[in-house]
Amino acid sequence: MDVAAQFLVAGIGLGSLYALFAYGVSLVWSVSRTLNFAHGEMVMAGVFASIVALSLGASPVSSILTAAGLSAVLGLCLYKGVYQPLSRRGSSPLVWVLGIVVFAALVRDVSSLVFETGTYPAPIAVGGDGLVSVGSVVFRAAYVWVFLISAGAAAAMEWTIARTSFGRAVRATAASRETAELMGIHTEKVTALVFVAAAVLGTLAGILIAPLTFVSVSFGWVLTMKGFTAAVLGGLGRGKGALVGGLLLGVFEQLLTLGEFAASDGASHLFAAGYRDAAIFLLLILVLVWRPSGLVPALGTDTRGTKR
Amino acid sequence: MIYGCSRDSDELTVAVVAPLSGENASSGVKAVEGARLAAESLAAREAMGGRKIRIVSRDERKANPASLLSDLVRRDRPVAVIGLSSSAVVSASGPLAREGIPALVIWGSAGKLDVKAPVLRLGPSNAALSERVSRWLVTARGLKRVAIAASSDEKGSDGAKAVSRAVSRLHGDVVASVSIDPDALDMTTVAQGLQSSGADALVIWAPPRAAARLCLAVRAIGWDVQIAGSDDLVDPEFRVLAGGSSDGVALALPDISPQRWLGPALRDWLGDYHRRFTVLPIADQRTLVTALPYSAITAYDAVNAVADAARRAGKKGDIRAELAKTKSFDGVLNDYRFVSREAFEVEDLRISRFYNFSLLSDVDEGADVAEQIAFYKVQVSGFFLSDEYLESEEGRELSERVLEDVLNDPDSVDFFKPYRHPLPAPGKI
Repeated sequence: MDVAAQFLVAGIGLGSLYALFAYGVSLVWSVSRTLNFAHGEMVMAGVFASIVALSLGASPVSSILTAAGLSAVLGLCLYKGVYQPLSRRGSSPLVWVLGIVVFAALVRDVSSLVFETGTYPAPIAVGGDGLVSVGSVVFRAAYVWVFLISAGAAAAMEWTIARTSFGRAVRATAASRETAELMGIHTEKVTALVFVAAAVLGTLAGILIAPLTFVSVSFGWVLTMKGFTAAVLGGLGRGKGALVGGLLLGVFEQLLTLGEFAASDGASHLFAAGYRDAAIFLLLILVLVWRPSGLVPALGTDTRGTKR
Repeated sequence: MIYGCSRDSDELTVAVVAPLSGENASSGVKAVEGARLAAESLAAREAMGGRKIRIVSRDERKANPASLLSDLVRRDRPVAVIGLSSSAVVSASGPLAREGIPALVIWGSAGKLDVKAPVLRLGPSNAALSERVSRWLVTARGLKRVAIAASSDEKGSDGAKAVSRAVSRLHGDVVASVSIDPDALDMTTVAQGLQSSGADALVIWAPPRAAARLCLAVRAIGWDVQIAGSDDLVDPEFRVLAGGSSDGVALALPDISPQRWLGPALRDWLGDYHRRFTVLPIADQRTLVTALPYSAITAYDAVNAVADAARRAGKKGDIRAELAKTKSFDGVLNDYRFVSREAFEVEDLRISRFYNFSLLSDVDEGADVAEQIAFYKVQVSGFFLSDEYLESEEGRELSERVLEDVLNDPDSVDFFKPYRHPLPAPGKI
């Protein structure tokens, strides 16, 4: 029972982290209707920047600001260099996605030139790598931070989108760029800000998890996949959806690992790691069949994703 | 046209097919480096009678094994192919067998080697390694309840099965067996699950970085369990990443004679290698840890074995046939015997463990710890200090002092902390 509780808590912690990546994916989708395949690569570059800054003697706060700064620049480059020119030319969404994939490859290749195939342990910037005990349940201290930041980010995202003029601009841009522009909203500025905010938010999440894992150039792809899966599970374009999707993904992953321990007879692997991924993608397909717009529907849509 | 020789020059092509990206990239990249160093060294010594060896490499993760090897054979026409464990060379040696191109496998190999392909194995097999590790845990140390955590690639799953069979045969119990997901962001719950199985020994059969993450998680939850692992863990990446968590981790390695281990050939080789390739990454991560690039040394020896066969064959002879006939080769790391498909019998393997800043073979009978510590001197002085500095009075004093500290009280020296003072900043020699 204790072990099950530990897996559940870890699932919530990891799920909160996935939610932080999913927010970025969701935000960009809401204003551009584009899947940002470069999300993880920008996070990876930002986390590397924080490691380098720390190793050069920067304080933790300075290292986080450095990481946030680099990812903000990359987010802006992605918008100015890829999305904006292609959207102005009226290119199809497929061309945008291809442009973003090329941008991601560029960031990855440049990072490879600097960091090669090496793997780097990340020094502790925030949260610590210690353990917290609640009764007999032991979990990573970093998860407390991750959960608080993730829940705070979800609330802030919901509040910003619902209550602020910037949020209204985002909603208007998401609903119809043309109409928003006719109403005087500078949609390009709004979209650029969203690209930057998504990259910075993802990088903060990356810095939180980096001490628990190691950082390598392939780090970004894993984050992209987790963020996409969580965002699609919960429903693209919604803060609450990202949180729900992230938590569901994190808990489901941990339950699969728990199931492996529970069902293992000790003599052989019950599930290879690859089957866990298969199970996760099966869950994703089931959710999409049942609720195409994700588990948390957008305002004005029914559960099947059609507009009322 | 002779295989491996280009039309306009006497160049022999040797291919290295290894993981150059992903989890096992560290070993793969080092293998390529070792092979290049051998080619450069042969060229500098003009040891090939006017001929040169050209090294080409392929990332086995970029294509499926059969098509990768077919493409390699068609484009580069190598005289030999060097591969790591679980590599394309092992899993799909068909294209090599068809052309009679010998494969040299330099690491504990998992797959069934193609009987038609001429294969020279320079490292112990997975079966021999797992048998030796299991025997030590269950019989020598009396740790009967064994948990296994393995990667889900060919080597990991094969190793998990081999350990499981060996433990059962030795009347031990495998109390848990799980696969490690290298993409999992946190391994704490895996460590907790393994701990809850009541195991008193944990065998990790996984690439260095996944193994390092699990070691860190095991020690982070305060689980004081004997950890043993596959030969992958000898890759310096494991120690650099796992840091102090790797202390006490045991693994089976070929029993290399003290004369060879401590001799000038290996010492000079290490100096050459680190001068040529070592780029230490980030200042804060620099630690004094054992940096024995096993896959690089073995790849170096493999290329020299090819060169030796080329010399025997002469300019007109069939190098491939000569290489396939090779029964032994005296390399830098070992005196290799290719009398059977097993390069090393279980008895030829020695249990070593990571201790403080090096790898200590002190758990088997007959191990001379003092001799091994003398070898550390080579490492301490050879890897991190420049020749100019070592020749200075201060350098000599420093080197002696470090060794004296280690010899008198090994626990007093924390080699896992960044070494700034009094050692000068580490870097290229």
